[in-house]
Amino acid sequence: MDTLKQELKQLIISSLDLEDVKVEDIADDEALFGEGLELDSIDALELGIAIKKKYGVTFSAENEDNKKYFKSVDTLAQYITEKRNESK
Amino acid sequence: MRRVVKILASLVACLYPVIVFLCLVVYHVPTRIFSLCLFAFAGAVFLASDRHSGMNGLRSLIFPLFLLAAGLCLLLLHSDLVLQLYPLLVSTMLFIVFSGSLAGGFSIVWRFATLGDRHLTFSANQAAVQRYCRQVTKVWIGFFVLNFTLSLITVVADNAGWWALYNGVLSYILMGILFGGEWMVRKMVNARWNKTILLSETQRDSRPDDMIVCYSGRWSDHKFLYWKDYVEDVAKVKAFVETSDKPRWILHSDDFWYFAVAFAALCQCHKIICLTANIAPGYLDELFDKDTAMLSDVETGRSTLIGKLLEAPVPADLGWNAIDARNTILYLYTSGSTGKPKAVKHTLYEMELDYDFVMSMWGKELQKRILVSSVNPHHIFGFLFAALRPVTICVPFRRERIVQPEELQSQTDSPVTFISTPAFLKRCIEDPDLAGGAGLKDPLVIVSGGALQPKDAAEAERVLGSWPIELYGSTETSGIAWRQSNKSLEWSPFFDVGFRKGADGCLILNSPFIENKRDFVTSDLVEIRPAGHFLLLGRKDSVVKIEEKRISLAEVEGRVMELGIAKDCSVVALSDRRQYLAAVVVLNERGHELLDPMSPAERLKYLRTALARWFEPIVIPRKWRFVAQIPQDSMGKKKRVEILELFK
Repeated sequence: MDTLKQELKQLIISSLDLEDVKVEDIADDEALFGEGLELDSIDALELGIAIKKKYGVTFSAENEDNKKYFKSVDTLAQYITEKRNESK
Repeated sequence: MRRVVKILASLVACLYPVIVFLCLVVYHVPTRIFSLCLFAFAGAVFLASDRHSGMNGLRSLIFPLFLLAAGLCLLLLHSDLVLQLYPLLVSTMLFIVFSGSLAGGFSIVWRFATLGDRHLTFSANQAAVQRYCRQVTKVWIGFFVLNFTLSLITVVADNAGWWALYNGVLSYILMGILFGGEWMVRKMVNARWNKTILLSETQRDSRPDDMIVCYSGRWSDHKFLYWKDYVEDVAKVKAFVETSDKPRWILHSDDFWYFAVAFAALCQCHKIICLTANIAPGYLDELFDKDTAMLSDVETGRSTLIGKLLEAPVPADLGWNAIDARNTILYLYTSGSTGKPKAVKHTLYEMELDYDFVMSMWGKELQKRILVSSVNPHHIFGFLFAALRPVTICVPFRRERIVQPEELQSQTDSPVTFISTPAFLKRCIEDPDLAGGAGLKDPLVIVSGGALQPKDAAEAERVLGSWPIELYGSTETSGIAWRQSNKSLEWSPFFDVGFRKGADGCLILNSPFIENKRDFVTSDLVEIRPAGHFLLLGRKDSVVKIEEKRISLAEVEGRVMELGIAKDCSVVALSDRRQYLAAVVVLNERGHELLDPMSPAERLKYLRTALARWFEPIVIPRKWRFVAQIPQDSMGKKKRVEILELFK
């Protein structure tokens, strides 16, 4: 789980081209959107695509659900883990 | 062989009275021979029929059994009585089928209608169409009763000539008259249902109560909101707005239902309506004054939630106040070139003017589909196409905005019109979920807000299933021109829009959609082409577009200065993997005190959070450089190339 979170942070930084931000700068439960990093709607799209490509998971067709998954590194990691277990 | 017999059987079934009359009365065919023919024919029909079990099997037996009975009667009793009963049998059978379908829910006429036009099942007026079809079914049932009675009279009268005349000729003529009459009535009724009724012409009873205005989720969930709900919800919001004496109302709602309802209510209350996508607290502070109130679908601290208002009981008075389109004023906010948020004024009248053009171009296609949008209703394109227009032209719209590309995969159960932007289409193309195609059914894709490269349009066609139609326009001008880049790269103007090239190379417009503006000068460089078309060559001023959002660099610079940490600052637009803003800042003393101890990431978070007070995240610079001086020439003008160099 912790490796996954580290990976996710690395993915956020690389896929969004976040200059000056290192893995340790992003807290697990830190809000990705709406405060702090203030990622924008394009970031959400880019990040979604990067995660889909890397982990092969798909997100919900319901926007409300996706908002929950994309809340923080914690929620993303949890979602990806669940999805992986489902497909096993 | 089976097919030949089947065709022959249908032919005989139709011409039956004539054949019988000719054989028995005119040519006096001996009854024995005729009855043998009947037996043979009954056998052939029986063998050729598809054998089914149950009711269908029984039905296919009726015709041969009848022929058998008629033959026997003729042979043994020398009576053609049974032969003459055939039209009665047909009337009875049709009577049973038609009445049965009424009891079963879907009338047989509706089933035939949907076979002919499958779009009917997605139409806003399907309930009204179904009601109409039930009426028509009832009329036909009445006709069968009448036909049965008249046939019976001719049988009882025992006159072969009269019998053949009525059952072979008159009965068919009556049927034809009824059919033709219904066809004409249907055309008229259809035109009434699909009639365009502008918001300013709308009355409370303009539409049937059960017209579908809006749906939630996917179409097949059948989570519909109807005209009745629309009228009631508008009345609820109206009842609230009427209690306030504030003349100016900000409206913000991503929920298209809330938006449509609140917009109609504000229009009826003769309020000035301000549409803004940006609801950052500092931005709202500037929009608000003592005369301002706000309706929204999200909590902003200073607005009334539309959802809350709709929880109220339905007001006793559902009255619909007349809307004066020429005096209904609307402000749409954009970044002006001055650096301050700019309010663009329109009247509802101007907004409604281009309906004729849009309907003449795409009306038929739009009315065959339901509508989904990834563009919010605060943007002029989203406002016109996804909020104002659907109700006007009876097109059901999806309540929720499409936010992520994969949400399109839930919209595959009905033909759709997809209202979107080039930026969103680019994400759809990249999205691995949609790599195999989004699976949309017979889609119509309309985009606006920026340039869509033809290669992206081609990819969009592969993924979405239709080559996007691009509309060119802006908040100030509304629609100007359109193109479909697989047909031509040149833009064709909306009718009534006049244009020419200005001395500085920019497009100059004369459009009825721009209030009091002769010669409206755009910032778009243009090349005039023959036959009234033009090519667009890019933008001229310091206003840049980041993913379709028009942004004034001067405004962002002004806000950075307002943070009180900078002596000077310059903002530029960059684009590598995506487009974004970057800022170069000369810190003042306070800036150094505050930012120097921070790590680079902390600094980034601090600055982005601070600017989020005024801007949506998309506008906030993502890269920052802190320098002692911003590169300038001797005239004090900032050197753009050298500033860009800092971000290499």
